[in-house]
Parts: sequence; structure tokens; C-alpha cells
Amino acid sequence: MSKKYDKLGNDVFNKVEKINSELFTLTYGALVTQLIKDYEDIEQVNIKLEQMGYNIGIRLIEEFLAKSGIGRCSDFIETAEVIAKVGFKMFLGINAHVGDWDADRKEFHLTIEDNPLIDFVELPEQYKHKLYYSNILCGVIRGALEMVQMKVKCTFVKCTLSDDTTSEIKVVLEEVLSDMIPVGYD
Amino acid sequence: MSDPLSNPTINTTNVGGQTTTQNIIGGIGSGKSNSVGTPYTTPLQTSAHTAANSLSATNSPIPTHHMINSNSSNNLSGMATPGGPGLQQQQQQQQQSTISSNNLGLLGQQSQQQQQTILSPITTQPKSISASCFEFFYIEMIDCIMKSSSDKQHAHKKLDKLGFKVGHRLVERLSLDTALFPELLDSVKFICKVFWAMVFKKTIDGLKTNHKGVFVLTDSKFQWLQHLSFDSSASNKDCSEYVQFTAGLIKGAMSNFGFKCIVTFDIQQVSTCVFTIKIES
Repeated sequence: MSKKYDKLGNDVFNKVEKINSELFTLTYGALVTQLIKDYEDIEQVNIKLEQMGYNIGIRLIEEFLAKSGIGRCSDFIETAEVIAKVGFKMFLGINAHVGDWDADRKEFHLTIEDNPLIDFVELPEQYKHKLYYSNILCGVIRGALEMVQMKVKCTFVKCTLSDDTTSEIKVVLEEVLSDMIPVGYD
Repeated sequence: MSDPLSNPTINTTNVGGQTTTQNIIGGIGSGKSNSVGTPYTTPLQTSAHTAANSLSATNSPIPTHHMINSNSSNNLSGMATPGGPGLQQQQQQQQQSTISSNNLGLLGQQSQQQQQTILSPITTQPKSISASCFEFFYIEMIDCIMKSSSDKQHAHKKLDKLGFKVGHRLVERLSLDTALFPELLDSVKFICKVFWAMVFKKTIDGLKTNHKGVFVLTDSKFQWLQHLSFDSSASNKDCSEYVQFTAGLIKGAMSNFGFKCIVTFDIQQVSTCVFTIKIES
């Protein structure tokens, strides 16, 4: 299954319009700096970044579904693979790995390689383990999955900027939202 | 450049004629002009972009010049054939008259040689992301800045500052292996071509100057306004916040070249943006 999505991810990424990642990296960096200035409290910055990600995610899912042509996933395991192999590849051009499943298959860790957001970045000592620099990614995953009826919680558990060896996002499936029929629709 | 036949043809024609020849040539040798227009994205180019590049080459002797070196015979036949792919656009583009002085054209060629040298290191590390990914983020960033500022003016100032920082750093990376520019115009041309190509995957469509420190850059298909929906009944029709960041980018880039300047912009029609750079002495 993983192989299949690997290939699909590559194919889709080759198809989409691309730009040099440096513009994105630098702009993101400038924005985070601005947020830290505006909010003072680091926790607030994390929340704000997550929120921004959420807003992106709810719009990005549409493009994702349209460009990748992926249909409904049979289970959460497949969803995880699709996010890692197709989602990350298609938008950021990077590979992510799924691992550390819990017994219920409702929680997994997403390991991100070569995150373009953190190129050129070095966190000052006082922000390490406090600021989740790439927290926007958590929001994107949450927003996108919510649009396909999955309520998840994403948190950064490890970040290379805070001297960890890898960057890892923990994704927990909280509930599967039921398909609600809009009011007044028969 | 050493080709005695084609070189004068390009450099001595008047503005209109020049536009025509270049458009045609750009269209014909698309594969090649591609690699000059947007060097670092070359492997990823699709045919749609190829067309865009040939259109946007209006004011640049650069792609042409490069072409001439490689396959001049093709070019000559190309010039004789009226109606290359770029021709339809020519009427539209003619009004955005380009720098016509021969002198400037030559300068451009010099800077092209410098640009050529920087192509290789960038092509070797083509780290790229999906363009839509950046645009999603960009929209959200503007929204975030607008909401976190007390008024519009304040927000614009912030966006300008953000753009300045990014532009300053971006140009530093871009011009790593470029020799110092001898003239102000070369710096502006670098922004019009290399810098613009990196950010928007196209070059500036028109560059005008009064030779006294004022430059007018026209982008007739401004990327960051392309995907905004326009609601004629909406009260807020002004989308200047989506352009302000770019003004900052230009300012930052110019400051890295050692020029302090004021950048103003004007949104015309649907997605045409006109930037005015005024150098402060």
C-alpha cells in the first residue's frame, strides 16, 4: 500500500505547478518572527500558527482531492499513509513516514524529513521546546481531515529545531464525524 | 553575441520591431529560452509556462541573445515568418513599451553573462514546493496580518516590512555568484528577470525608466491576484494588501543592492500591477 502511494505522491508532485521553496521558507520565517513580536507569549504563537494551518487545511483538502484523485480511504491506517506519502509529497515535495501506531490504531506518529519550513532556521535557546516552529503543519492536517469527517488532534512531539533528532507530529483520531445532511435538504 | 548577422537586428530595431522579433524568437526556440527565463525551474516546466515565458520576454534582449548563440539559423527563419506563437500577444504588449535604447540593451547582455554564471549552482539544488501551497499560506498570512493590526495603514506597514526582510534575504541567496552590478539599471533588471522569475515564475512584462532614478515595472498578470474572486457588489474591492508585500520585496531587494528607494504600486484592471521604484539619493 505504501509503495502505491509513494508512486502516486511522486506523480502528483511532478504534475503540479511548483516554485522555489526559499520564498516560502523565508516568508514563513518572517511571519513567525512577526507573530512572536505581536504576541509575546509563545504559547499564543503556537496556537495562532495552528489556527492559520487549520484555515489553510480546510481549503487545501479540496485541491488535494482534485489533483490526487484519491477516493475514500478504507480505514485510518490508509488515511495516514495517504497524508504521509501523497499529501506531504504533493504540497511540500517531501517525504513523511508513518509509525508508532497504538493498539487501537487511532494514534500514529508522522516523521517528517527535510521540512522546507525549517531551512535556514535556528531557534534561540529560550524558545527551544516551547515554540513549535512548524506548528502550522498540525493545523493543516487537522483542518484537512475535518473536512473529510475525521476529527483529529495533532501535536508536535519532537522538533529538530529543539535539538531532537527528528521532527515528529503525533496525530490522534478523536472521532469520526457522521455525515450530516444539511438542514432542509431531503 | 559574436554572430554578426543577428545581433544588430535585435539591438538596433525600434521598440515595436524589437518586440515583434523577440516574441517570435522566444516562441520558436521555447525549449531554450525557457532555460534562460526561469533557470532554476527548468526541469519542472510545463508547456503552458513556456508560452508565458516567451510572452514575457518583451523587454529582454537576454533570451534572444542566448538563442542567437545556439541556433542562429533557426532564428533568422523565425524572424521571416510572421505569426509565431507569441504574435497574438504582441499588440497587447506593445503598449507597455520597453527600454528602447541600444545602450541599455547592451547592458542587459552584460548582466546576462553574469546571470549565466549563477544558473548552475541553483539548478543543482532544485528544492521546490507546490505553488498552491505557497499561495494558500500567503492568503492566510495576509489575513493574519490584517486581523492583528489596528488599522489598514498599520497592516500595510507591517506587510511592507515583512516583504522587505524576505526580499533582502532572497536576493542575497539569488545573487550569490553574481558579480557586482556596475549600474543601477542592472540591479533593476536583475529584479525584473531573475528575482521576479524566482518569485512569480515569469519576468516583468514592461520596464520603463526616466534615467533619473525612477523605474516603472509592469506585471500584466500578477500571480497573487490571479486567484482572488472578484465580487462587484462587495464593499471592499481594494486588494492592495495582496500587493503591498511585493512592494516590500522589491524594496528589500534594492536595499541589498545598496539602493534606498520608495516603491509604490497601482493595481490596474483585473490583475495588472504597476510598481514604481523611486531611488532616494
